[in-house]
Amino acid sequence: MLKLENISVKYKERIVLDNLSLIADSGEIIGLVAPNGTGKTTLFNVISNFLKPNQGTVTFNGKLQYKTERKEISIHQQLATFPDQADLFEELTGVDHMKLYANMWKGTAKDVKKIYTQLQMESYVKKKVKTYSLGMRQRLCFAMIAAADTPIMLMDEVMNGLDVANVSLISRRLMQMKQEGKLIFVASHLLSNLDLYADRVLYLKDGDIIHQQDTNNSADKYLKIDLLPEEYEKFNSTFPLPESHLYIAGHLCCIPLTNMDQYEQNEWIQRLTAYEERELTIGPLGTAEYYERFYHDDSEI
Amino acid sequence: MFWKFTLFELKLLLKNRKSWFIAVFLLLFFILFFLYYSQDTPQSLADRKKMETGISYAVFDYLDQQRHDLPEVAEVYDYHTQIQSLLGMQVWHISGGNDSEQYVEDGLKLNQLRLKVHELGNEGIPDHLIVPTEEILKENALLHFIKDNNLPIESDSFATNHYFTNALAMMSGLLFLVIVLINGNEMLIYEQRHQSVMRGFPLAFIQKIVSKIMIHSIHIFIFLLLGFFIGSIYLASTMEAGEFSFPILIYKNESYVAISASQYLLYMFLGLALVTILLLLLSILLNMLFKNAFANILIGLGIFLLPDIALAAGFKATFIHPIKFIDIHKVLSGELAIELSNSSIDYWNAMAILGISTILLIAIIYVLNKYAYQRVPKNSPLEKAF
Repeated sequence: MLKLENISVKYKERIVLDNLSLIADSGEIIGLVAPNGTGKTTLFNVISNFLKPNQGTVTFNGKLQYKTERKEISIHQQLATFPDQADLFEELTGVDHMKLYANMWKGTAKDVKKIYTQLQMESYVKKKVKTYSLGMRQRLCFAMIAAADTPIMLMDEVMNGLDVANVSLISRRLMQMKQEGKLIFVASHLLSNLDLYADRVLYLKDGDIIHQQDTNNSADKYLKIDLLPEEYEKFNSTFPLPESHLYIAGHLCCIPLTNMDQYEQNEWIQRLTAYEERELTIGPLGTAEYYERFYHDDSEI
Repeated sequence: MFWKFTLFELKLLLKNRKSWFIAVFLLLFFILFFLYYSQDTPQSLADRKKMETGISYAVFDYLDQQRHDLPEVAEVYDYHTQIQSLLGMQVWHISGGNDSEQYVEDGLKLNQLRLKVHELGNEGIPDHLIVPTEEILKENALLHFIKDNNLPIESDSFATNHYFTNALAMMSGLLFLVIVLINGNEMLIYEQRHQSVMRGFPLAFIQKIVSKIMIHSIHIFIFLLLGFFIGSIYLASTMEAGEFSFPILIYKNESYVAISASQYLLYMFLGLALVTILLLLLSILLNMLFKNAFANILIGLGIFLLPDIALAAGFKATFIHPIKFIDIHKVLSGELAIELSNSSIDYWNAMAILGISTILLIAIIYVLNKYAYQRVPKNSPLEKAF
């Protein structure tokens, strides 16, 4: 559905995206994770042709590329981007905004009421945006893109400013959209939330994707425990850890269980029970753990 | 999609305080102008003719001193005797005689004689007492119109014409330019302030432009017409006149012709409509180039003043004269033709050039937009502005 080939974006000496390639299909939610200023928004801008890269091509459905305005319109009929809440029109109501997106993409605003009801916005959606709180605005931005209902959606910082209940509400709606066959890109700093609905999480560093985390089919399981650096050093000298173990962000020790038999696994669990007050967990690395691994200065030893 | 976008643009316009400020200004402009200026009564025709007679007597003094020595002056003197007599008769016809038909006939003869005196080089007449050819031609056109349409020579409707030509003269040109530039200064720029909301609509750029121009020009024009209508009602009620068949002079084909007030208004508003579209297109282009609302007004004003600056600096610069055509009143009255010493500037010529300029602006906007898709990034990626 979407293919990015050798995308490079550089401002003189500063490289933002460096020869980045990616293939994405419909019915998929792709999480995009990176610290601020590492190119997430730039990547979205390239996908939507708000930024013409120095190099590389973006192809939709195997043939459509941003070569002429006509082709751009054909692509934009299938693609909508998440608006920034600071860009909303203060004097217009939430319904006005939703109708704009519904009309521009679907040609009708008949589903607008259904959408704001689903997102529990009835109490304020007909008021002017200038009266909205941060969370209300964010929900409106999501409602707008839901009203556009395009096959491809690019959502930058979708959960910003939302409380727990609304994060859960929007997460459910995202999963519903995935079921409807949409391709959704979500850039978010709410890392554990991505584990809920993302099929893949891409980690951007130095202008390229350094890791793709498959959240549905991760075979690598770890025994995880929080250890202080001196505890980790001591433990490692007492019980030499396997070479493929990870010590992430100076606190999280992860011992791979994948190639161990039951006896060996029990032995490691037994050794770690010495740290009585620490939580011991078994499972694949989550988005938050990968994030710390890739972006914490001294994440790996 | 186009109409849905247009409706949204309309909604934004209606929510915009600046648009309402312009609307209120246009609604009140004419009525306030008429309220203020109706305190002064325009000079009556009888008074004007008496004044002309007085000036004509003064001319006699000069001619009398020289006619015995110079035969050319003697010839002018003979013509002037007839002119003086006809002026006296005209005063009689509109005062005691009350004979409009004869007044017009005498006026036409009088103008023939004045033109004859011009042909003789106005020998013996000091410069400040010469009746300019333009004035003679204007008077002639007016008299022909009155004769052809059997109109009374003095009526409040003449005064009404005087008021609304003056009002439109004030509106046309610089003031109208400023109004349109202010109205259109953010047509594209506002999208940058709401970039993430407005970017990426599946709509061609030129369709967006058409939508914006349509909404803004209709907005300006509705309130301009409404304002004029309200002002006219007030004027008609205070002057007890409102007859639009009375003549107004316009400059056409290097001469002056009188047309009915209704035709004048049609020409005027048609011209203002074209000027509105042209200036809004210019605003779009300036928005695209400078991405700044103030630049739009400042550069727009600068362009308008360019011919005056060039003229003051001693350059004729004929190629920039069309910029001044946006002052439709000056074009219609012939003032611009005199000001720029270019006798070919009349209404239809100006309209043709304004029309061509409009098409040219559309072409430039179209090409600039197309070019954005052809450009290849070099040192930096290319950001799409609108």
